[in-house]
Amino acid sequence: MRRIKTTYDRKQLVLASITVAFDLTLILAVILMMHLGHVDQLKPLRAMNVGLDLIGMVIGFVILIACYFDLQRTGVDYRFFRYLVQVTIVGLFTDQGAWMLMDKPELWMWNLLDNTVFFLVMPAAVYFFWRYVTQIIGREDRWVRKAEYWIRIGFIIENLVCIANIGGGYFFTVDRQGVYRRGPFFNLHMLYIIVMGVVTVALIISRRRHLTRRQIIALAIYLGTPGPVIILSIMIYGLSLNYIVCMIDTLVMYCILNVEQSRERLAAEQELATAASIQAGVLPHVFPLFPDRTDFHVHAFIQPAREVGGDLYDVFLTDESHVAFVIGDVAGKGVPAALFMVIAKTLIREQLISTRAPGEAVTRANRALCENNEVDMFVTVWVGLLDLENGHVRFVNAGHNRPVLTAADRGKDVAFLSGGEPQLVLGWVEDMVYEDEEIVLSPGDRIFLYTDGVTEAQDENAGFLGDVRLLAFMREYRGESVTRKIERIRDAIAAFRGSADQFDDITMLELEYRPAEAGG
Amino acid sequence: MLDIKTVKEGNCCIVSLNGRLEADMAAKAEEKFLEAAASADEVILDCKELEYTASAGLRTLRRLQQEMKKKKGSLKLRNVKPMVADVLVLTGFAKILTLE
Repeated sequence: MRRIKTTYDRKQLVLASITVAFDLTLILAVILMMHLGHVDQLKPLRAMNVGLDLIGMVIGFVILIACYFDLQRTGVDYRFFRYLVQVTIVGLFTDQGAWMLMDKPELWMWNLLDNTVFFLVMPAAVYFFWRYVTQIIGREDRWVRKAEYWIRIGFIIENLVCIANIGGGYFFTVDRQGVYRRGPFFNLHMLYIIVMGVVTVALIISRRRHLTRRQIIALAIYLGTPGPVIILSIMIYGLSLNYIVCMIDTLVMYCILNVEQSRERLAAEQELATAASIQAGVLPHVFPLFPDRTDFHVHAFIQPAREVGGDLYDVFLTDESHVAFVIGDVAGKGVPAALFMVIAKTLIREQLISTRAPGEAVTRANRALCENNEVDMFVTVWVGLLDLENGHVRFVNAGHNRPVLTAADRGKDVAFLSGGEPQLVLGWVEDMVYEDEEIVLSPGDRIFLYTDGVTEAQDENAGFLGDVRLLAFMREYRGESVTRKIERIRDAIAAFRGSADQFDDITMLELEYRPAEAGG
Repeated sequence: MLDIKTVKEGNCCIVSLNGRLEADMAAKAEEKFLEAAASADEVILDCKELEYTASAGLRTLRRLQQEMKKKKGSLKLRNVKPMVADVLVLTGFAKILTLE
């Protein structure tokens, strides 16, 4: 029964493919450059930098792929974390490039370009980190928005200076011999990054209550380690560990946050499994239903699209000669729908037993459902009460699909139950009065109730099963017992769906009127 | 897939829906609807390109309607296609909505 449902967002898929292709190209380019540039002849410190950069890029690549899988599974989009990883990969690429292109006069233009990108990456990384932190904190107030405004301005200025540096040589220069030199304002380049670091730390400290301890540790590692490394690399020229340290921090951050999420998910899954079994227990589930009644036969089937669902059905005797049969569909899926479904089902049964009048029962159930319904949940229901002595069915249709009638008389075609004007779904308008309608069943007549999971089952081309096919099934399996018939339709729906996902809960119920006079 | 475009004209916000309002799009739709509700006294949903709505979609519509009611604004649905109109009629929702 347990299925993980994936929904493919086309934009996401395209973006993921482009990212993967781009990063793979970068990685392959590095390997090629290492080969062409004779990495084995470089000084040990440089060769080490280059090797670490490649390792960092591969780590980043794996994290990115993991992020896309997470995104598909959980639907939670930490896009700034992905951007952070992505720019760090680019940073590693340019860092590697800077070492490989160094002192190569014929490639000095490439060297300049490479270093420019290198300098552009760092402000982008701190900016995305800031956005990521604001995302996991989850609430944007005026302070954050104001800070965001200035951060963006700073970001633009920093980037403009980096580009102007190509002509001006403020941060660094690359001469025609391919020699890289730090410019007079090299340390100023760090200003934006340091300011950003301070602002981000201030944000984390002031909003620490919205973060778990693990999250704080993960963020602290990311913020804490590059500082000493940057200082180290300012002091020792020839050592460039910034990006590889960032990438390792990112990996640590990903792991910690992922563990957090996995623990939460595991707990949630266990709770969900329990909820599913509780919910299944709420509906009549020992088949055959009413085995010792010969005056009616009834069978039902339910298959939630997820662990728990919002569909409901019910069959019960209100007294010896009246059987109530109910079907309903709560908007939405999952736990909220399931909770609402249990309340709705219970209310309707209670009210039907005490009033024995569908209209009155539904009116009361609706009033109770409207109280404190802050989230505008609703349920469509079809509630019928069959008098087993004379075949009269009083029913209320509150926004539900019309049932299908199959007459005992083979000369009559199967047909949707025609009726009055549809009445409003339950849960929305408190003072709504629901009216009864009535039909009379002849011995051997059947009423088939279903939810829109049946008619809106989708095939592989997203086409609906539809009313016409449903009627065709009803004709085809007309001669089967209620139990067999529902099994057949269940199989027919599965065949129609093919490999497509089940989007909605599927529920069916059929009742056959078999009074004694008809000979059983 | 569902595309939601919002155009603001003075105190009126026109939200155009294009595609299928399935359960997995309901949260996104609700976010856009509530943004529209917050920004204008009159919201018009243009359903010319809306092919289908699931029940979760109806719920977001209702939320929008309640939101507009709360601020005494108005909500109208425009160019509703037959298939969507059927759902609105069947659920009785059409009775408490303004359709153009």
